[in-house]
Amino acid sequence: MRALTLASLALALLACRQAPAVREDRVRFSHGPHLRAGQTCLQCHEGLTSQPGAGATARSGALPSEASCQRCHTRPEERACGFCHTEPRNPGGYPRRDRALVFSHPSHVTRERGGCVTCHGMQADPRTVQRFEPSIPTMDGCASRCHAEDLRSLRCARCHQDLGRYALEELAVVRHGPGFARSHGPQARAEGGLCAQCHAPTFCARCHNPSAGAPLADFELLGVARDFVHRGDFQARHAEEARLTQNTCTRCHGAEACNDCHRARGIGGGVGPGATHPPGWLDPLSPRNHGREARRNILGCASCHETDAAQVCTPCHREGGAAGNPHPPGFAAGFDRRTHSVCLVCHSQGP
Amino acid sequence: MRRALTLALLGLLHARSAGAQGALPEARVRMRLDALFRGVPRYVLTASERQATADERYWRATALAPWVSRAVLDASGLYRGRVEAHLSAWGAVDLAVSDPGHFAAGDLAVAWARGREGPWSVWLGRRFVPWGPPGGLHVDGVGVEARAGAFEAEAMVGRPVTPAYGGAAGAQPGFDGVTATSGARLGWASPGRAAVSVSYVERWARGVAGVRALSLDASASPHAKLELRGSLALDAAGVGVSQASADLEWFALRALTVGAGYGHVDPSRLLPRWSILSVFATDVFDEARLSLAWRPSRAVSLRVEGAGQRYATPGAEEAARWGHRVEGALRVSSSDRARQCTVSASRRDDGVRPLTVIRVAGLWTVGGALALALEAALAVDDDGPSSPRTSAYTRGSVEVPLGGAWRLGASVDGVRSPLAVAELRGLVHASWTFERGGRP
Repeated sequence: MRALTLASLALALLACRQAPAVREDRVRFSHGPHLRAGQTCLQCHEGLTSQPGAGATARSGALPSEASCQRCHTRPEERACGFCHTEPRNPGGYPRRDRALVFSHPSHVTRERGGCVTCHGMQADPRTVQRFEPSIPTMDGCASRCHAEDLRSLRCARCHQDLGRYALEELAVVRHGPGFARSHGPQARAEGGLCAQCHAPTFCARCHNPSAGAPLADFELLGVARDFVHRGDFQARHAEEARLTQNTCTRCHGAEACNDCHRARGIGGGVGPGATHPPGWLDPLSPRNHGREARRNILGCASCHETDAAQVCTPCHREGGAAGNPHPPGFAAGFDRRTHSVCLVCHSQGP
Repeated sequence: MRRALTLALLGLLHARSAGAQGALPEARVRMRLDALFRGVPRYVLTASERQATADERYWRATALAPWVSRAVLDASGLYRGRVEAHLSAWGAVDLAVSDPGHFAAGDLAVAWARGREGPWSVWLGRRFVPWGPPGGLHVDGVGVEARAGAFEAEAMVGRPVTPAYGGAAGAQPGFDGVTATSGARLGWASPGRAAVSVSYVERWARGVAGVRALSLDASASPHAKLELRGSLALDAAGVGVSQASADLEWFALRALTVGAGYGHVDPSRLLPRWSILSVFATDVFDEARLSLAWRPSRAVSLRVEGAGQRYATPGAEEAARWGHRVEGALRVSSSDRARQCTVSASRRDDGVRPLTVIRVAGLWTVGGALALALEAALAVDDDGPSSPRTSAYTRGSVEVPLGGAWRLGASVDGVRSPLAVAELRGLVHASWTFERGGRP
């Protein structure tokens, strides 16, 4: 047992170490010399002015092809692979960075009349192109220039395809701060439309699904840093957790959740009462007495005894029974025994 | 399911042909298919007097080898932006069960479509409704929604989804007698500033209105550095508060957030009135919490939270019990999220039985493709590591893209839990994703 624990901790800590560097091909390039030579942006990035097809990303057509480079770089040494590729024996393409954005370069180029620096030059020295390297616009940059109203109105879907694929981020306006997964309920209930801008309805059903075929962690093997509430071994310790943090369970689960799952696994069926209960269950002086446990976690009792409580509980807990009145103070004020059929299990019909 | 798929695919074709004409709302279709094979023992309750310990006497492992498949489809912007459809379904076949009546299972998590025309929209099908009683409602039904500026109103009627379990492989859709639900919601929302929602839902079964939930939910940001969230669920059948929460977050500094909150649960009011257990006296749970979150960069986040809890039985002679909860979590990742590490620890005590949970997990990507994840967790109570309630868990996972939209993953985990003294389990997972549409 101890060895298993130590081994697992060691493995997990090993995972936290940085992996050794792998030599990957890069395209060797600097914007400065090209701009000093009089090139304009759109001479190389010629694909930015034409509408890409369906399924295109924000970068589609943005990066020059090898053929377009070779229109200027005509000398033999410039056509050698090593002129641009850092690993000419294993040349790769541009690194893929799918930012999952809804974005049209052509419309922005038209609106800015070819002024690429408006978006990409925010961190450049405007006095010279000597050190110019275009920057990728940040959300703050977009919002401070043209999309302030979109951000204020939280029209996330105008730019973002789907934020559900990312770890929860703390944004300036929609704050998915640490712990948000456990407290998102009230906001989702009051402002469902806001969530729907970025998250498809099936995103909710990944967790809010009473009949899941397998735990979410089995479908998201790499989501180790995400705020899944039911991680890994949760099933093994959920009984303890349910007693210790009742409000956490009931934020998402109705009373039926315990019942459904226990039935699925055959828990609570086929044996007599007391089988799953610890010693002292029927001893009124024991700290494990069933009355105390029931008050702590009545939903746990309901998971097995909701349908047979009349046989298990009420023989003692009834008018004139050995265990007396089970109701909390003031209980009768909220019930009318004439109209609540469940009252008739113990109480004779009448006023 | 077939109808939803047909609708989505027809919509896709229509939208693509319409897109060629230009100036129409964009259509978007996303699909994901998953298949996983697990070798996980299944435990059932049994009774064997010959076994020595209670666990061995009452628990028995049966072989289980389910093949689980899941399909998810989201289609929006169909039919000139008027229609959207959503589907999430799963099916399982247990390869180790020979009984033909008990080897397969499956269910729809959601399968619904919504049509919009101006401020009105109508939905039909199975969906998760986030409002209503605590936890929301999973319902087969029909609903209508209307929006006018910041105001919105909606109503729905249907049948709550209550899975039934008759087979070894998992849940089957099932309904316990005549059951129905209906409800309505009124809301006002100014995104990013404030939102208020009031809803009322009734749920009937066995001739009894088991749940009558009146809920008030609100969120507000009265100041750029302040956010408030609150929720109040009233049990209108028994007249009382079944659940309440209020949280405040103060963004004290750019990287520092201070939070405070309060929670209240009356579990007996969460049980429907047709359950006789709903009439029993139970502990009322109250919690006050304070948290501190520090995020100096996108790559680092640290959160600590402490809470004091009170468990009291109204009218009982015995004094209320006090408990506490202290938790901390640190998360570090590289800027491209190719490497991530998280460490968390939690100590909880309800005044009867304390528990400590420690978790460590890491993820890194090798060569830009192969991803490896390792995680370990340990839960131990104060009786010591050898206590029957102690559980330990470790898992190693690897995932690799196969080209195109395919990904293949595998996972091995070892566990020691109250149910299994020591166990090794495996899993193979394949997924396929498809995206088409959206604005170019």
